[in-house]
Amino acid sequence: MKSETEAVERHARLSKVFGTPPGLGQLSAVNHTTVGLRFIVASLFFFVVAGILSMLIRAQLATATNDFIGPDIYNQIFTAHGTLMMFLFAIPLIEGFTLYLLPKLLGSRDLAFPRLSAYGFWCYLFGGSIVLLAVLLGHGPDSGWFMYTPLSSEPYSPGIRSDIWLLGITFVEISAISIGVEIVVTILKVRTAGMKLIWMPLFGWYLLVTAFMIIAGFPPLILGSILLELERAFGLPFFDPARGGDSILWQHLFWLFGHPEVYIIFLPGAALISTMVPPLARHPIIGYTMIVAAIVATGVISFGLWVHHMYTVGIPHLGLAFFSAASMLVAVPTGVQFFAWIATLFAGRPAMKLPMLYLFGFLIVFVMGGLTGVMVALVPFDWQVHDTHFVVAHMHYVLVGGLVFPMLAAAYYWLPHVSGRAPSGKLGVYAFWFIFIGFNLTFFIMHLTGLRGMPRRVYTYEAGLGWDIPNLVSSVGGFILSIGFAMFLMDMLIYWRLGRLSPRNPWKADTLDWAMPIPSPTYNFGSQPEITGPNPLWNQPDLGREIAAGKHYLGEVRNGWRETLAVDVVSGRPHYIILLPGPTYLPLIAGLTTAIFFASFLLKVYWMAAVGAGLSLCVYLAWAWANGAKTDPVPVAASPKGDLLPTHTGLPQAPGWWGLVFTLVADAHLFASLIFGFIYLKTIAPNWPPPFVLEVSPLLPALAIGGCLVGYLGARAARLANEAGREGMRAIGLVVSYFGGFAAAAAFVAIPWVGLEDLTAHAYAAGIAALAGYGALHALVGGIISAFVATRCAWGYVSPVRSLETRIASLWWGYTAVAAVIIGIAMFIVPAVLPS
Amino acid sequence: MSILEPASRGAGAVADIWWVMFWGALVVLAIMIVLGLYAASSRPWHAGKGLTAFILVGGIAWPTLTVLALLVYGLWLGEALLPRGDSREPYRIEVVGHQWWWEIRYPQEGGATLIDANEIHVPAGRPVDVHVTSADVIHSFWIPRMGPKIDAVPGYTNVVRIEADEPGTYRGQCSEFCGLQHAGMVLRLVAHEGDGHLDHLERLGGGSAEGADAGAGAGAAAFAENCSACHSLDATQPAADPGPSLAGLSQRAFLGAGAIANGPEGLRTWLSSHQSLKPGNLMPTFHHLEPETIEAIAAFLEERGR
Repeated sequence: MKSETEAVERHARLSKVFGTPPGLGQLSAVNHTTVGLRFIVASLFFFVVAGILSMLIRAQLATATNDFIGPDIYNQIFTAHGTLMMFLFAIPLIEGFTLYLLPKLLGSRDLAFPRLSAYGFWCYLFGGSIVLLAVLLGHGPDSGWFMYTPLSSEPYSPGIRSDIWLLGITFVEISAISIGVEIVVTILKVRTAGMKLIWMPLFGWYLLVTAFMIIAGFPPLILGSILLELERAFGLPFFDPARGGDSILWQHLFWLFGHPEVYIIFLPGAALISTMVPPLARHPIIGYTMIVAAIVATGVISFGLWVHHMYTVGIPHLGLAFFSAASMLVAVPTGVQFFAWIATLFAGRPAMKLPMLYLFGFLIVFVMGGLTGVMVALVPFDWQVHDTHFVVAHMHYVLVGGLVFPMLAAAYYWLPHVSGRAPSGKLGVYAFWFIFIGFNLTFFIMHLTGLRGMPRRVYTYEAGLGWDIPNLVSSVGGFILSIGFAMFLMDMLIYWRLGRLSPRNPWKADTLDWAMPIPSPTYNFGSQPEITGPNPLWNQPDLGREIAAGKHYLGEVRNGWRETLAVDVVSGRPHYIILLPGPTYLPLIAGLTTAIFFASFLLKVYWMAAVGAGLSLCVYLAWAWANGAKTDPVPVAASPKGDLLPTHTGLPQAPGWWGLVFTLVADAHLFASLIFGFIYLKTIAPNWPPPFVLEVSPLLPALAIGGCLVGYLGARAARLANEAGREGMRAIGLVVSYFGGFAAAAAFVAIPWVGLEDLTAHAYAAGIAALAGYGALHALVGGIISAFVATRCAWGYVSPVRSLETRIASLWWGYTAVAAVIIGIAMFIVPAVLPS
Repeated sequence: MSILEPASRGAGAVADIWWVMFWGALVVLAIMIVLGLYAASSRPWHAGKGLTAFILVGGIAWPTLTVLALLVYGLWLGEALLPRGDSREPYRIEVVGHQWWWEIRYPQEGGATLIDANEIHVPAGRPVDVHVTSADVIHSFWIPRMGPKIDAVPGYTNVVRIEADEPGTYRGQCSEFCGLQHAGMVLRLVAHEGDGHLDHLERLGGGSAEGADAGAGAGAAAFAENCSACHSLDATQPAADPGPSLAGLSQRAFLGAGAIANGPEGLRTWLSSHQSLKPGNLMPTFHHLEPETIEAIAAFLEERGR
């Protein structure tokens, strides 16, 4: 009895520390459970909207020469359907359940950067609202969800529609990158004691690779969107073939993102399956290592497939062969996962519960999508069916099979975890059959529609081409499918509040997410368990009680701190204690100021956009300022056994340092895409060479690159001086790097300014301007970082022990210096040596 | 429009490979469903032995061998479809995609070019190299029964080879989304027996003898005032701001790139209400014209567009 009273008291103390104020105070929530659920609810809202749009599409196509919807509205509707489903439903839904589940599966109390995920949520919500509002007002983007230029360019899409897509979606992608960095750092560092990398739930491996793919895959699209917006707003001709641009460059940048995107969506679906299959089969997963290898292989191969969306643009056939081979070979790692799941079912005693039914739906639908995927990877066959309804059918089999069916299974599996209540099971079975039959009715026959030659994205068609009956069948199926989804949502809503109470761990699962009371407390674990194997709740049956009784790590509340363990990446040995931030309005405010930037840019009020950017910078700095201990931390007790661990504040390998590393990885991919684009235009685009060349005094590039090198050397000197305790030298280094940064930024801006007559005349000039802009921005941010760190030094927030800030300045400057040298090479050497 | 009713050797080869893949895919799907159901039916596998081999064989060996075989087949087929390596001299035409119609150009000996719209006349039983580009956004040239599609990309010229086995008429349609009237970009390919395509070219070029000058009469004046800025009646001369050439108009089966059947009635309906037949097309409405003026233009086009 004593231990139970103690557990209840511990619960009360932890709840107080980890809670969020009620009412309007909810806007300050940063807790991963809350933010994760917000992502899920918002993404379901967009799913419903996009689903209604798809019903309008099916209504229009139900009969030939139907005039229910005209071409203008139709084009907006299908563009919005694709955009909403991809960017505002699928990715945010994945982010949502990852934010919710990941810390629970890893045995930790929150994510590495709670405020960052809250900021990600606001960016998603505001960016998505901009897009949705435009669609509802009839000003939605109408160039299709992959926005091919020149259709989306200014001459063929005047007005605001394309800008809505480019700016709204870029805004949402900031969210995706934030969450990507969040997930990587969390998986690598924020696990519970003893959780070796090779004992981590497969979910962790899947999301680790997915998050890397987000970090690597989204920047090309962000870059493409920035370049296209620069073309639309200021006339810099990156994609205009008449002025040395190339519309195909957009396709490369888009699909460099777009193909990994498919696996960014499928891998999390597979992650859920790999988490649910062992408990449902009542057997540990078979082939753990092979699955991990398959996940990594999928991630790598997925970056070599993008051209398979471009077989018909006129790329030489042998060039296509490579992409064809890669596209087909991706079937192998997928096959490994399927056979591992089936093997696990073979080995165990499968329980035929409701999630299992949905997993069967997944098996059939996704296998079919994969099979047609192999077909369209075959170049000659794709030459025929590309851009027909065959591809529309294929894509829906992959995406609905790869994400929606696993998500439906997961919804039934984890609903008790979220609400503490269990669904009845009956409505869920009916919903399954409506969804499964409706889906196949809609999309199976659509393969035939495509084989009979119906192109995608046509708002109407003639009777008598053999398209009438298949389209009518698809439309009927679409409505059955919609009824199924409505039943599912109703089931969720009803049992959210009215279901019978669920026992703890209703599936007898092995993972730590079920080692807590349900619905889950805000702090997840009364104490963070030390685990001794890959299936914690099966290896240590008493774990739930021990956790609640505070027998493991960080069971006691002190100083009102929100604590969670950080571990050694590979071994899972406790490394330090992260002091998590509590509720704060900073993410919301930062989201609002970012929204001011995007909305003003959209409305072409550029001074206001500059104000928004400036305000955002101030909020980011305030955010960074709020961190940090004022005195050197001392190790504190971390477990009842008396282990001592330092707190993270200022540690060289604090989460913030890792966060910057992976942010720079994303940044580097954006930069690499820019360099790729510049070289691509130079070597392949029509209408080169340009009518003029860059003419500047060598002093300017010398100042630009030299300034960045000085910035780096100054920041590095400051870091070393800090470690040696030489405060004077530290201050000098930071001031030097500050001036280096501003000199370099000014020089970068001056290069296109004085060296080129007209930035809008040729893609060459536009490319130079973009490179210079990239250099100037990084030097400027570097200067601001140096000034910021110098200020913190002056306030006494930095010491030889609390060295994080000087290390961050040094890292940023190192990156900037390397980038500046590459920019110099790209500007002055590449155009001279490469052929046009 | 169906690729399952091929009318050329290339399209036939792709249709064959489709049926191979279709039956193959059905077999794979059946195996996966049976495996899944069997695995879930509570039949304990003895001590989990051999399951690693099961994954290696099913997950790695099986898909690897299958896709490799398919890959080799596909590469070989793709090479065979390319516009090269045929002893016969290919017939050459040029196609330019416009929002939302097709410009067809027949290069003639001596450097002249005859310009037509939305209909292609070629010899049957002879390879035809279609040189495809675009005047504005990206379109895609595709006649399903003839085989592969190719994109019309501004700034580039792509070549696709087609060959009609038999004389006949084959429908095509733009297959890359190109804006409001993407659905309204239909194309007809007429494959003629023997030298029948030359008769078409002769009739097309014949109109040029009368010159670009519209001539006298009320219809001619109305045409000159309302139409000639965008439309030429001379197959050798494009108009200054080019809409589809109207040379040889009466020979076409359709108006407005597939919007309505050509004929006395169709022509008049098109002139008076083309914006409701093909909403968003770039031709201005003629609501401000008297019915007599429209009639005069129609009569003039019937006369001159022979």
